[in-house]
Amino acid sequence: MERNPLPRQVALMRQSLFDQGYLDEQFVQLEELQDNTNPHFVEEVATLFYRDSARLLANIDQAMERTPLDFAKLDNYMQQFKGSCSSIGAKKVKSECTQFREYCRAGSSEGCTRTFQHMKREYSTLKKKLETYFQLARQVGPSNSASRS
Amino acid sequence: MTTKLVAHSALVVDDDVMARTIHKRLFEREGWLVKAVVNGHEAVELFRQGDRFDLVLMDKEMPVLDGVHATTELRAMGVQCHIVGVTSCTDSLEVESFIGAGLDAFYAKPLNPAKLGRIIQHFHDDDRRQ
Repeated sequence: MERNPLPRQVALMRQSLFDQGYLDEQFVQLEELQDNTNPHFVEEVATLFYRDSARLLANIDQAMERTPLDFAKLDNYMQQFKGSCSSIGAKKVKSECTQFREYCRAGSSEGCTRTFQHMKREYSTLKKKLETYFQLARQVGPSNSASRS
Repeated sequence: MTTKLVAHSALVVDDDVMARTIHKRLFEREGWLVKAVVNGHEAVELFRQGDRFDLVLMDKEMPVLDGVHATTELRAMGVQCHIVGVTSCTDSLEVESFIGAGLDAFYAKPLNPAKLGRIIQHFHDDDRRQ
């Protein structure tokens, strides 16, 4: 019988983020930059991601209120947000960003509006999952950083 | 007989705080000394003030002074260090113009340990040739 089920829980939670398509290989690359001198590096990057995302999503929200939509501006904002998503390995959110940019190029207001809503939901889901994961991972301790199953 | 190890220095130029953090960490893990600035103007100013780096990691899209113009200015100033461009931009014409500004190499974002390994290898290969 396991003395402490938490490390296994954390590992399973981490694996599910990949299996369910929320994260890609870039997240693993970030985990490889973590060591005893920087035991919480990935969480620090995630915190930067949340802050950057809040700012960019607010910009996009504001730009989406304009009529008619400025597709060039929206595309530019989304390129920045997609860059942030790529940096952390946010696979599903990045995919929505790509879709949004295609609608910008096509000049489709309806497509942009619909995709933006999807994207915000995916981002919100990812943020909650990552916050829960890091909270649990901290309880286990830095020695339990990334073990690929 | 002792061998003095000299750490190489890198300047990370990127307006994106996540990219700056990750790229700085990548270099530091390899034992490099790293300084980071938020746009091309700050990078150019550092060189004007006499700072020198072995390698500049230059983002393309930045406010105030972008990577293309910053690279052009640095080369015009006579800066000969290794300049590596990075961008998430996929437009081939834009990438070409970035390379044409005077880059030694170009990599798509995001960087990872494997890409950084190639950047550093390329830097050392160039260093040996000179």
